[in-house]
Amino acid sequence: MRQLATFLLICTLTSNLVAQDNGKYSTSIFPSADSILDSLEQTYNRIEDYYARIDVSIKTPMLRMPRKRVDFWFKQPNLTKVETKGFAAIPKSGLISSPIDLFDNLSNIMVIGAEYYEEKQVWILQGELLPNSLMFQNMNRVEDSNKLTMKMWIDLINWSLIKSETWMDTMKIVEISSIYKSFPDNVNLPIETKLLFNYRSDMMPQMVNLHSSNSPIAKSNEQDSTKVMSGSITMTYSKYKINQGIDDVFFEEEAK
Amino acid sequence: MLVKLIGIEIIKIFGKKRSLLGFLALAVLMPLIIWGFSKGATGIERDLVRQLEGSFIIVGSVFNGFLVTYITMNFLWVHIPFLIMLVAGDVVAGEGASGTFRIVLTRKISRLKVLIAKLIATYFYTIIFITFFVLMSLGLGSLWLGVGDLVVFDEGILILAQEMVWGRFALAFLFAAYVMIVVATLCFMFSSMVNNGIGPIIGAMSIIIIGLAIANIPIDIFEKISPYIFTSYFDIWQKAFFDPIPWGDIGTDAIVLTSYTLVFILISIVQFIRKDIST
Repeated sequence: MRQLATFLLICTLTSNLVAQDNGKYSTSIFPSADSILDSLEQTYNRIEDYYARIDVSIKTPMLRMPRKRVDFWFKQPNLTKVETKGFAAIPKSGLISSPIDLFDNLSNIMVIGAEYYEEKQVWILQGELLPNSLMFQNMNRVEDSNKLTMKMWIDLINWSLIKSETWMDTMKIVEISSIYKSFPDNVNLPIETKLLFNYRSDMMPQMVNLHSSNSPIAKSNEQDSTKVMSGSITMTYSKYKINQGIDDVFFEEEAK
Repeated sequence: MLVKLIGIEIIKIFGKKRSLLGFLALAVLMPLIIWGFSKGATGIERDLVRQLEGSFIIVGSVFNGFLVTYITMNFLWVHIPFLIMLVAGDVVAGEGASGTFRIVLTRKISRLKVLIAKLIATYFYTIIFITFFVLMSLGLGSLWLGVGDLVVFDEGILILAQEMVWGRFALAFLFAAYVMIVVATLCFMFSSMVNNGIGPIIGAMSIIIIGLAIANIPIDIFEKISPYIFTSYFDIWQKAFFDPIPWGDIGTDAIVLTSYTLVFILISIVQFIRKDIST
């Protein structure tokens, strides 16, 4: 069975190369993006609820937070609860989220290839990212003229998104990669997610000093369009408790 | 003998009502500020959330005694010098005005020792005053509002974990006390030149206001002068909250501040030893 899968993958790769030589992608030999979304959704829907301890470390030009531990609860369809000692910020784009939400932010999605990535057989998908999607909510100078694309590497055995790259024209601005662990009942959840950013300085939002200063004139942030600012976020997941039947009331307490 | 002289000078300083004015001001102001914060400062939290909520889920509250102390330090670092000057400006000049120098200096004590005793007593007052500020801000604030992570602004928003904040505050107050020592020495220098306690206060305050303007107004000529002016290094305490702590910059700042302090002391000594005591 494994040999058959490998053979099919090699055939797919070869066909892809031939198709690229002809100057266009052939979609006929690849599954459709919709069928991949269905598979991703089926896998995602096996998780009814979960608890995870997340260690978050943020080092971006906008926000820096040394390692911080948070308790995170989730229940389908979109109930979440987060607790921490003190104060914490958790990146929205790195959290485990519905594949439907992810695909909703994309248009013209197509499968552009298949390969072995980190010893996994993966489909590579590409779509055009909407400028008003989650990732760009705080960004300046992301305009309609910018071509925003997202490439996704999807593990075709476990049906999980193991890597994504977001490109603005020819610049890779975000890379998100995850390492997954298998749990009972064919559930796969990440144990580590890394986000890497490369933004032009003028794309960063102007941060306002929250503390009043006696400086007669506050020195403003540098906004240089030629300067690239990099950052990274690491989230390590542990202590998973999956499908424990968490009551909705538990999440309502958060809403209050 | 010098220790005894310092003791006498300390008694003299704390014996004056004006020396207690600063303590009184802090004793009224700090509980008022902390009480105000305890009633809610949603504006600060709203500003923080607004800046981050697009990309991040925000959990918990930034509000605690640490944040109040940090904000207060940001707000008061140009006002505290005035309270220090009230004492430092009067310590030599006040005695000249009251005419007690002629009696003191007829004794077998050198002028240098008298001056050094007054200077050390002024430093002692400054340190006690800053310690009181620590108690009223960090002490009272953490008891009243509790402690937690500290959110500061250092090239973006920086969240410092609670465990490291105590150490950072210790360092910040140490630097702040050092800056106040410089201020006290400047005012002391003016005090050694005149026989009127008001003049040194106005003189030192004017220099600080001019210096801060030059240090902060972004004009080309001011930016060139700025590194040579001691007021440009008054915000050294803020560097205690940077991550990583810029020890190199702090070292440079400390060298400049120390150099100015030594110059002020030297001028005070020369001025006082040569001074014709006629009152």
